[in-house]
Amino acid sequence: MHRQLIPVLMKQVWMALDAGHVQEVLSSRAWLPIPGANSEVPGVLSWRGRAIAVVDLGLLAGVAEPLAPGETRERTLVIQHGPYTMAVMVDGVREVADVHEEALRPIHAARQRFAQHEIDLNGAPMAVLDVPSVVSSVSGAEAK
Amino acid sequence: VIAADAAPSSATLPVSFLLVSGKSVDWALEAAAIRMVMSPAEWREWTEDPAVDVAGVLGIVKDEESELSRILLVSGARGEFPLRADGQVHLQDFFRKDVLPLPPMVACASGMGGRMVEGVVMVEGRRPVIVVRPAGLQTKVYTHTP
Repeated sequence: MHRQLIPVLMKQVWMALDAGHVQEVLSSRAWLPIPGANSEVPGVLSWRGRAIAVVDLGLLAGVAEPLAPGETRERTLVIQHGPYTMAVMVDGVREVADVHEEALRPIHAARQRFAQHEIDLNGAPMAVLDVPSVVSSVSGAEAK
Repeated sequence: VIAADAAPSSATLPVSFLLVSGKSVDWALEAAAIRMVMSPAEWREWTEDPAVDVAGVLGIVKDEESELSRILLVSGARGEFPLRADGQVHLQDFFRKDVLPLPPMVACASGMGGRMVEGVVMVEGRRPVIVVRPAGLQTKVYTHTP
């Protein structure tokens, strides 16, 4: 079994996400803070004619300070899981890596929340984040 | 058979909003809900009731009262209520389809904020606008302590 992972950089930390959840990789995008929103889902941005939630993955994973209003990052990932579509701002993205399931190791060194496995990609160990668990955490829906 | 022209849907008809351009954010309220616009001085001559600062109610960075500030007398389900809008105030038409509803993930996470916000207008090349809901604002105003 193979998995396709997309490495993303958040501050100084590389992490990987299942590429199947990534709908689009955009350039830096402005977003709008929503009054009363919590720091994990602080606002919205416009994508394909609708407003989608901005999810602060850096904060959720425990690798970055909360996004400040108006703060943007180099790349914006549009992520989909079930009915939920959300935007995640990251500092960098590398090309999709096709990896064998056997290359995935149990969590050992990674400290990020939602880390499911670890893997060596591009010569660096990184956590593979479980996107359904992230979505579950911010939406209240059960992860599948 | 000659087909009749289809009537334009409400989504494609422009709706007038009162747009308030504050220092930190632009927000708008459907103009049909506004009964009267006056200066703070005129309002104070009329009544001693305080008008609630919308930026404070929304929880966004407050703008100070200035010569630009206006009191909006807004019609809600429980009668009229006064709001203070700090910033440039003008009428602006938006298409209903351009008022994008908040995604449920954001509306739920925002609690009361989600109920006060009808949606957002995000048009390329201009400041985004938060469209507020009079009914949600009124509920918040009655529970708000300035």
